[in-house]
Parts: sequence; C-alpha cells; structure tokens
Amino acid sequence: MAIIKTIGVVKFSYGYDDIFDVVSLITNEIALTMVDGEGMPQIDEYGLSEDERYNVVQMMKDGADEVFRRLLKVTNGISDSVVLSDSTVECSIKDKEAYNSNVLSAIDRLIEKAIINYIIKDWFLDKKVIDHAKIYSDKYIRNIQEIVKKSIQLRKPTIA
Amino acid sequence: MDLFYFEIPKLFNRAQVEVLYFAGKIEKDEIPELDKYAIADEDEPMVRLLMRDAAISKVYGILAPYTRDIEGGGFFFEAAITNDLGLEVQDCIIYKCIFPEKFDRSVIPALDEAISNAVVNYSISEYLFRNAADGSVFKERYDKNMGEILGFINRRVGLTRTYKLY
Repeated sequence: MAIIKTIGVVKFSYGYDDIFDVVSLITNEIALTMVDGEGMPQIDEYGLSEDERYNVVQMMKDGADEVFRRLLKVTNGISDSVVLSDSTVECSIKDKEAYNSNVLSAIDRLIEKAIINYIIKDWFLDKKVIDHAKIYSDKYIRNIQEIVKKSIQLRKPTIA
Repeated sequence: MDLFYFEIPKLFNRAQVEVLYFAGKIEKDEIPELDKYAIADEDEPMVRLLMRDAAISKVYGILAPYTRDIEGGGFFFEAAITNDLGLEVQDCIIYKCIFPEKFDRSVIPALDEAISNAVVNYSISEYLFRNAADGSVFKERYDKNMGEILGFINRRVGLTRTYKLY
C-alpha cells in the first residue's frame, strides 16, 4: 500500500504481490482448520496459491473497482483516476489539503483491508464456504463504512 | 457609497463543507450518503445558479431601494473588484449601496455577514431540495438571515422625535 502525493493529486496504490501475500496467508491458515473425513487439512482446496493467480488478479480488480467507486466524486478533473492492471490497482483523487494527514494514512490502510477482505469473501463464495464468506463480507462492509465516513476529510475544501 | 463583495469560490467552499457535515449524518446501511447529497466540485455550475438566484432575487430584492442613482447599477455577479489593499479580486458578488445619512453604520459588519450567510444557506437548502433531502434547517437559517438583513438596513441613529409624547 502506498500514498503518492503530487501537486493537487493524492494517489492510493496497491500492488498485487503485497495483496496476494496476505490473502494467501489468511486463506491457508483458515484451510488448516477445514479438515476432510480423514482429518486432513484441505489446504489445496481452500488455500490460495500462485495457481489461482488469475482468480486473485480478477478479484483484486473487482474489489478495487468497488472500493474506488466510493471516491469517484473527489476525482473531478483527473483523467484516468482509476487504474486496474494485473500488477497494481490505483486511484487518484484531488488533493484538497484540508485533511488530517493521519486520516489519509488510515484511509490507505482501510482501502487495503477492504480489497483483501473482498478477495477472501469472493474466494470462499466461489468455494461455497458460506460461513467464512459471510464473515469476510461483514468485514468488507465495515471497511467500506469507515472509508466513506473518513472520506469526509478528503472531500472538504479549505475554507479561507 | 458602501460596497459589499463576496468571493463566490469562498462561498462555494463554505457550502461544500456545511453540506458534507450534514450529509455525513444521513446514512443508509450505516454508510453516509455523501455521493448522493454532498456538493462535489462537479456540482459547482448548479450551485452557482442557486447563489445567483439568492444574490439577486432575494438579497438584492431587499437592498435595491438603496442602490438607486448608482451609475452602472448596484448589483454584479461573477465580477471583479479592487479591494481595500489595492488587489483585484475576481469572481465576486458585489453590492453597491447608498444608505441614508442617519443609517446606523455600526451594523455594516453584521449586515455583511448576514448577506453571505443568506446566500450560502439559500443555495444549500435549494440544492438539498433538488436532491430530495430535507434541507429545512438551512431554509430556516436563510429565513432568519433575510430577517436580519431587513432589520440591519433599517437601523438608524440620531432620529429626533418630531412630535410630543403625552
């Protein structure tokens, strides 16, 4: 995750490798607790590995698209504000410079968490593990709530 | 002649912030409906129209009697002006007024504030109305501001009674 500030623009950027490391770790940890009839952990079935790279890339793009959509009203005047590639997802917004910089960092962390929770939710939905899908869906929704609430800081202009 | 000027970008910024805090409390599924109700930068043309409406048909409607005999008129919108420091300020709402001799000049700062509040509150209430939100709190503030403007411009000093009290 990263915040890149240039004149008048704040860019939130998230790399595939960082996101993949986290979702792979979490899903494999969960898979350890999911055992088959012989008591064997079903890591191959439910843990994300490089074999699922294509799926993870697609889910990362979908998740990022949904999260970034919440910030579209702060992108007026920025062309190509959302970039979704196989290696990185990015969103550039107008820098109104009226925020507390700690809130900017908090939003950055929340966006990353939201994308991660979205991927895990979708992964378990695809695998028809509804309990875990629900847990991560709830986490994702809470992240979105927090992002939108905190985005008030990004939307407000400076009052002179 | 008294001159009042208000920079429209500053009024717009104020309106944006006020509506943000208001919209932040309108939630659906615990998510603030900021995209729906907050004033974004792309809404500026619409809000400018509302500000123009407030500035001319509401505020100027009250100030107009004090602008007679002023060459070029007493109201300007999106106009430039040179301020007290000699700097040119662009994009302003400008009122030029000639108040009566006995006008209470101590209310001028309060009148200035009431005019800007009226323009902002009217714009917000109409903007929210057009977005199907209840902006009545801003409408009430606007009504109060208009009452204040009317009260301030009618303040006089040193009036002597021309009749006897019995």
